[in-house]
Amino acid sequence: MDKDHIRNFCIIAHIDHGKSTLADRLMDVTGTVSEREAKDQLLDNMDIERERGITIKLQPVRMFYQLDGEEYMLNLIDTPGHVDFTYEVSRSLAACEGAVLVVDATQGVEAQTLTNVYLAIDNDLEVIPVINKVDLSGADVEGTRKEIEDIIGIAAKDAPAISAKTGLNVEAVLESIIYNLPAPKGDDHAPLKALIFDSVYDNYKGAISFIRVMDGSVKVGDRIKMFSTGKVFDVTEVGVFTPKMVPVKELSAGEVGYLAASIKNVSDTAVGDTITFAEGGTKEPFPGYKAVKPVVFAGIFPADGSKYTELREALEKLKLNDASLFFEPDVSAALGFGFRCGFLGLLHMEIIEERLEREFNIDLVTTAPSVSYKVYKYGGEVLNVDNPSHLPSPSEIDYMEEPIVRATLFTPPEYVGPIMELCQGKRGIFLDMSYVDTSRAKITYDIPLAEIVYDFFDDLKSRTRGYASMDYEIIGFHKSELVKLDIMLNGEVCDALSLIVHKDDAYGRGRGIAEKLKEVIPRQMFEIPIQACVGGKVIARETVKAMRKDVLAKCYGGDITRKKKLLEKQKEGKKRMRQVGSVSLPSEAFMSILKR
Amino acid sequence: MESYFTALEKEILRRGKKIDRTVDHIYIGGGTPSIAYPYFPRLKRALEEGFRINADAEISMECNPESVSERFVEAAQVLGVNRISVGVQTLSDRLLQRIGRAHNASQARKALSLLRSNFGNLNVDMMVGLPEQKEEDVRETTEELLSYAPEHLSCYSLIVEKGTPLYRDVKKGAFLPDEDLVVDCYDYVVERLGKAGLRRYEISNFCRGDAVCKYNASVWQYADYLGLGIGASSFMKGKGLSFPARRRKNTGNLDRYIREEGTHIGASEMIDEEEGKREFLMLGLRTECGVDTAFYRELFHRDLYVDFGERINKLQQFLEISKDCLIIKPEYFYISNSVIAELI
Repeated sequence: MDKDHIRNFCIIAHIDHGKSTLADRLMDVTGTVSEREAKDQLLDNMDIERERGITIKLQPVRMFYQLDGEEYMLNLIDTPGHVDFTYEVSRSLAACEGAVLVVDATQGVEAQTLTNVYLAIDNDLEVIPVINKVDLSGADVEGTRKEIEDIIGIAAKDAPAISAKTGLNVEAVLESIIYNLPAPKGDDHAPLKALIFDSVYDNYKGAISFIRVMDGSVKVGDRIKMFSTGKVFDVTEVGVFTPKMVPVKELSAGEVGYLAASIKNVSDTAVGDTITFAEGGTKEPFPGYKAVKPVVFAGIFPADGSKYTELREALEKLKLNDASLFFEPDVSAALGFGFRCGFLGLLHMEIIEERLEREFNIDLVTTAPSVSYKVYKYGGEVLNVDNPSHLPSPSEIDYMEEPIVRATLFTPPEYVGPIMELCQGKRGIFLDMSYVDTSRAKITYDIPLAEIVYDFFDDLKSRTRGYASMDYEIIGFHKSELVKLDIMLNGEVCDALSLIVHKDDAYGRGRGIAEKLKEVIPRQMFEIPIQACVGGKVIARETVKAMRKDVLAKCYGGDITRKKKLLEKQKEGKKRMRQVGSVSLPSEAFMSILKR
Repeated sequence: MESYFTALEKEILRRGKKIDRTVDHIYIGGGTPSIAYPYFPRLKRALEEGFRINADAEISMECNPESVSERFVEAAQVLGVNRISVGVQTLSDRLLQRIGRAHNASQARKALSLLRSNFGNLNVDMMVGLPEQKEEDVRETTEELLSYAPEHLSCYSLIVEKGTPLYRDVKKGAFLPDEDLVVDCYDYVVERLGKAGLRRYEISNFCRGDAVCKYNASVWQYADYLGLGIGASSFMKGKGLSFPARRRKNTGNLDRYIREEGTHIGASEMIDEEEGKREFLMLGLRTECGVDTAFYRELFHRDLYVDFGERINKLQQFLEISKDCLIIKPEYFYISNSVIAELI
């Protein structure tokens, strides 16, 4: 198909405004089989993603539509919508020329509407608004048009008013896509330059890259290389998404599809990387590639020590499809054998943890997430420490550095105050504030990554009713007055509860953690003193009183079997707790130390 | 009821034929046996025909205050009941209503008087930990129950069972006293009963002198027992006190029981030696005499301290260790479940 008749686009929307429904309807109207009808295993992940409030990611799909006697190829590419995955989002957007913006006529422009639109605009996409759910009684079409024009600043006079649910006027969306979105550009005769915007692992075909061909073309048998690593592969299959993957002879400039080349490792199909020919390939890669590096680390341990092997296998399986998941074996005195894992961010970590628990059925105990610090020892040695319990003793440490991010926050002007308060409270250093337009302020802060890693994003969203968005980038390591906060239970340090904190925060955090632990640790047969210490000095303490009574129940002839079962349950319950010396800790204890 | 008793008679006779041992104690419970008093004569005949009963046997029966009448008392005496147990729980009408009991305080008092004057061995059941129960309630009830000079008293803390109206109330936020209050109430009961001459011989049971409930005491000492009737439990060791032992429960389904004349087994468990040891400990540790080391050796041909020594050591703080017996210290009776769970 010639490029003039191709349109590459994505659909963006606030959650529940109708993105998936519209996608389904577009596929219906164009006669493409709906992906959801072909029950896919990906739906499981989608439950988790849905619960987190991020948009469900669909596989790309190629549709055909006839308009004015001409046939057009419409490629729909989807994007995940969370700041942890901003990089992935930007690469998916880079594969498109335009975005269809769906706004619910009963809700109007909402938080994610904005953040997604800004992302699209920042990536030079043409945005065409669509007003949805006009069939509902609360629909205010004209009001919504006005909001789009005033708040977002794009023309909405001719935006199609549709109902994705009933199919009303959905053809107008297709027409708008064809008329208003630019056709892809690209040189058919230049050497191959293809952008990888996603990848998936297949047991038979190996790692499969989802690509947008920018220049040139690719077919089976071509010898290709990955720009970032220089690794060379032979193409075994190219194809398109119907949405099922279907092989084709060749993919050319402007097209979207997939490529398989017996690639064993999904890290060789890095998102954002450029694919070109091994010989005589393009000189310049597609801009914007970033090597994926973990930013948040946590210890993941099986609640039941005997499931260690299962956990390892599960992580290996997950890594097949997730090049940004890192892990290596780890040992904790409190939690036994497990893994130290690296993630792109907190959401990434939570998704992995949930998948391990739900899909692989492994009960986990996880430590609080931490970042990686640079430790400069006396004598010149420099260590990278991402596990607080691996920190050398204070007497050996000359100074420490922590990673700092440059956070760029976009917000409606009325939330500037709360945001600045939030950032100051996280040891942020104010850099700049400006107005992008009347509806958007841009604030820049340098903030320690450790302060962002736990609940900064959620806090930001709640202070700004979801309207603010954030982008951040690690800009380097800065020297900081950091100390190790230890928690002792019954006089013994529990290594899995240790944290690295800023010296000014130590007292507050220590006290907060001791109080939280007192709530979370169930009464046991002995009294349990909880002590928070820094450098051997106790800075806060609480006590869990000894249990005074368990159950005073009958135990007569007919009760014996039931009584035994109860005792078994009690023992099972205890087994699910972690023994730290003589104290039984429920798994919630480890994450609870983070809540302030 | 007629068909039930016919089936019950058949079961009694049938099992009696197979068992050649003398019956030491009889316990009649499982709900409200008191309402079946017209059938007591038939029951007596069946038991005497089916079994050889020791002349000194304790024949104990449970009843609920609302079904205690003179006719019941008469029938029970003819049956040979020499120990009567009544489930009073509390003498506060407010609380009785709260927990949905069928009787009120006045009925309880009438029942207590009637039973006291007709039986030489009286047990009363009471409860602490009831929703909205305060210390005064417990004090008042205890005081009044003592005025009937019972030989025996059982005191339990409330356990809210799933599926009961009370469970739903609690879920909706009904106020249950906290752990410390319940313990304080129980401490009060233990002390007050102690002063009145009733000592705590088991976690939830108190008696004057040696007026223990002989049937229950034998269960806690791991004796064999045969259960007759719907839902009744049995426990029999092998010949010559050997293992495996068998624990069995009759069907709980009335129609089935009647139809099959009590032959159907609802649930059955084989107890091997290892399991037997654990049960022996679990039961023995509930009592003031604890675990009898001599009987342990007789049953299992091993030494208790060799088998469980390590764990006993770890729990030293909670146990009284001696050559003859292993007992949970009285002050730790409250957390006996936890101690037992750690031990077995």
